[in-house]
Amino acid sequence: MTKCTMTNETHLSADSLRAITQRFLAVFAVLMIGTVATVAMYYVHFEHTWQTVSVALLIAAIKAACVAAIFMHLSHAERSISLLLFFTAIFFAAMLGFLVYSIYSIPG
Amino acid sequence: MSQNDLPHGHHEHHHGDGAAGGHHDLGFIRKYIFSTDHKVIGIQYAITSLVFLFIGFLLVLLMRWQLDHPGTPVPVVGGLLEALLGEAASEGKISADLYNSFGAMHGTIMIFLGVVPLVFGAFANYLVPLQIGAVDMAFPKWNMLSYYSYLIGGVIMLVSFFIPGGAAQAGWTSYPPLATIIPTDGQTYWLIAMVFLITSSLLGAINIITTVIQLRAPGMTWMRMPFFVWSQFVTAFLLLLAFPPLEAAAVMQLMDRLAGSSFYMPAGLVLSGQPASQLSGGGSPLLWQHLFWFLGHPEVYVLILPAMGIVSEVIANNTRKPLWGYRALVFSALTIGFLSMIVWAHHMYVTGMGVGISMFFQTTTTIISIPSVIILTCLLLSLWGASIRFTVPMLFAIAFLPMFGIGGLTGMPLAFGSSDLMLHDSYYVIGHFHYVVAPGTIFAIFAGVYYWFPKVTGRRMNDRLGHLHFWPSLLCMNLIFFPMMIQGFAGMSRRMSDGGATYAASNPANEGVIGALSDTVIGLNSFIMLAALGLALAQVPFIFNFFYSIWRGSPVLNDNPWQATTLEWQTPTPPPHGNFVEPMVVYRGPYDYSLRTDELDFETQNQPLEVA
Amino acid sequence: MDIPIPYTSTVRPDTGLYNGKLGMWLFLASEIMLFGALFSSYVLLRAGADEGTWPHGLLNIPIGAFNTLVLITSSLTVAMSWVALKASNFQRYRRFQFVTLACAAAFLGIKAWEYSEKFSHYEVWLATPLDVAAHPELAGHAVDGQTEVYSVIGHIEGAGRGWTLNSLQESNIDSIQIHPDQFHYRVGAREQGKRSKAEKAAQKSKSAADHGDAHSALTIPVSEIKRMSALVPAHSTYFATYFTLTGLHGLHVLGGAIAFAWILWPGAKLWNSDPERYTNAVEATGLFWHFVDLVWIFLFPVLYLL
Repeated sequence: MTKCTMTNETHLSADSLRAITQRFLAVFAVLMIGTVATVAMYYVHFEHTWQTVSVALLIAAIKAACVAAIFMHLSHAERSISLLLFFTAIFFAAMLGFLVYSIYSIPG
Repeated sequence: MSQNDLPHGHHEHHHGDGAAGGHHDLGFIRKYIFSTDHKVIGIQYAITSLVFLFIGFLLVLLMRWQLDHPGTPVPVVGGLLEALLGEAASEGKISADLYNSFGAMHGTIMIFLGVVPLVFGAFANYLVPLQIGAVDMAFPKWNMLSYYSYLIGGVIMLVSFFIPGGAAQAGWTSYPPLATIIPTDGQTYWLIAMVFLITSSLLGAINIITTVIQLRAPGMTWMRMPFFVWSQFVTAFLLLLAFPPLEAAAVMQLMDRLAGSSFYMPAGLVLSGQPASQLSGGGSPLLWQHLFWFLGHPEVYVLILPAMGIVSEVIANNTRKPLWGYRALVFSALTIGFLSMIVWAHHMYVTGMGVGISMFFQTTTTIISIPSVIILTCLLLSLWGASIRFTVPMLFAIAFLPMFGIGGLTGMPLAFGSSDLMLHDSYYVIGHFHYVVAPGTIFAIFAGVYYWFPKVTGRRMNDRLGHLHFWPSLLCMNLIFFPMMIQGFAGMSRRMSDGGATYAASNPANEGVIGALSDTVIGLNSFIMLAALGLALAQVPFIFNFFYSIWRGSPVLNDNPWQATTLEWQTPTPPPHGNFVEPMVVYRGPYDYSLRTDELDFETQNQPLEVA
Repeated sequence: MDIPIPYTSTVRPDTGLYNGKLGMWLFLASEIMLFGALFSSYVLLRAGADEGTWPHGLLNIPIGAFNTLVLITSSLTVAMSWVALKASNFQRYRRFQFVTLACAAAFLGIKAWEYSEKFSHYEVWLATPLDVAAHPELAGHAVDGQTEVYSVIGHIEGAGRGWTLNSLQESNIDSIQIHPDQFHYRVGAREQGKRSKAEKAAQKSKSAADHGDAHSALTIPVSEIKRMSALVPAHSTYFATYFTLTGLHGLHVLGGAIAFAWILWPGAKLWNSDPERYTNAVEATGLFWHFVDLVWIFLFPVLYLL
């Protein structure tokens, strides 16, 4: 189960399937709670916009991480896929960073 | 050449009945039209993109005529133009709008429909599976869809010439707000076609990467892959990650054009003297430029990396030596791949986006020249001390080196904001990047065509015609693009439909104006036009040679006529569906040349090492 | 019929991957860049927008939240259907995938309804501002500390979808009747909350008879309209982004649902001939589905709440 080839084994034992199912259900619970928390946050009305943005994006990031790690098996990802996503993340960050920076760096 | 045709292959008996080889017959349509065989798809890509390359070249010939003789009817084809394009070409004259269309479409066709599909669609498709010893691509059906997506995109581009208002006119870069407000639907066609072309490239890129990672033959380790495969592998990543932002940008420009949104339309826009009060505004023209060049610059390396790969193969084979610094080549290509994703804004120094951001991009841009120079140096040093076979592909490959060198070095003044301010959007820029792409990439393409032609067809191209193609082409390329640098330094803008006449010193309206264009500078237009005509004539021997040799060229005597080491020469000629007669096992690096001093101075990659 | 390609059903030992999984991850990497570019554009446009002009609070949050739950549920059923296939239980897999497809249909249906709501919801920019003192029904439109209202947002009586100032002029309409919303988006979310509370408190002490006042129609002559737009992409860069992002996302949901349906019905033959490859197809398509869910996890707070 903890071996990194978990998803690739053709036949999984009933035990490991049960464990996987439990993890999926746990993620589902986190996602449900996260959604409720996000909406609740909206009605709290924080003092500053940046607080709202940070909390909302933090919850979204946690939810996304759960989906990626468990539903998409990334917690057991093969090296080539981790590398691919690592570089994709860098290029995305560069794009986002420079797009936003360019708005603030226009003189005048 | 015939002394090179020594027996070193094992599949002579396959000549003549190539593609049928062992598999039950598919119908004509499954075999040649909707084929899933990577080689057939590669040939489909090659033929289609060569046609587009030719169309793009014809467009620029018309443009060169217009620049030299603004407002005079085009000789010979003027009537045809009027018949095809109507009012925009009335009396056979090229109107300013039509000139703009030609300019935009020349760039688009050459890059997105000509060179990229040729180096990536055709060469990668045909050769990568062969060179790594695979039976086909990892996803043959998606491969077929990739070609058809490309074809649809190409047809939409061509159709846009014939709609009312004509094709896109806002340059191949399609900068808004101009591209958004331009009154021809050609721009909408352009955007839709681009979505198809991007989809095609994505499918191709996914296929190549998966094939290289998953389908390498046993023993084909990463450092035994031919450099050509490496170059295509990196190229595929560039297409995979750099194209989607342009797709997003194209969707947003489509929204601006069709749904009236304002992604790229700033507040307070005034169009033809009228405030655009019904637009919401709030958009940013800078946004398009960012997203366009986020693709646009990696795209340059999409054009040049496969060319370097082709040149490397040809050089290794004709110098009969291992490539000098194979590992340096590989790591340089990977470095280029990474860095090319973070240099894009050096196309945007004049947008006023601020010094801080320019500084970053100047730095990365200068850094990226280092791996490019390493690659060029490795290839140059590979020539050192070799007994070079001056075959036709080798001529093109050798010419690539100084031509790309000029192209690269003339880019340095554009890498720095201060000098770019002077040269931006001038003919200097045109001269610079054409040196990279025309005598650079296109020469590499010619080298590849001459080199792999015998594998694809079983026949050689004629050497004498090859020389007749090479020497005038080399001469004319330089006669065309070098004078453009001079024009650029003199301040001639790249987007004028009258060849600079408006800003001529001899124009009475410009009397006393400092920096008006002298007669010499404008006179260079005539020179360039004649050289362009010369280049057109120089392609005649190639076109004739290409078709003549398919049916009448001298047949190759064995499967490995160039005595090459890589696996594509271990197939029957031409390779059948499924490629290899028996599964390949690899024991050696890609360039085991100079092992002995006799004629058999090489060992192929599937040759087991001799046990001492 | 075709050449058999290695590693379509089994994994290649040195990479630990089968082709489809790698291919799907490569595709997802490109999708990250696609949605990433749109998301970056959103941030750029929002960061560049003038203070207080960015619309918010115009989308239906409960409906959006419900749709989020629908999509999360579908992600769970996709994951469970894969487990069922791993346990060689095809019937169980089918049941889970029916739920997935039902969720996809529900999501798209709700989204379509949301869209159509926006198409008939208007903002009208006024040539001369109106004073709140003369128009108490516009109280919720005045930014804190101001009394002038520059644009009115609400439902126009008898209006179809996507009307503009041009279409009014072309059909020779002299004036429109608009029922203003309770609040204009220029009034911040926090401020709206405060005023709502105050109003509720006031209503408790007042009689119910005054209540209709806030929603009575306002007549605006066409000559007084500077610009008019439904809440469509042309309304603002916010709605342009909203429709582009959710539209593209919706297309992905549709595409994923079609792929699942194809695997479930015409593709089911493969289960008998090559069950491992079939399971792989479900897993790879599942990766796509989870990614689409993941995108929505970001889109919902970013577009609905912030």
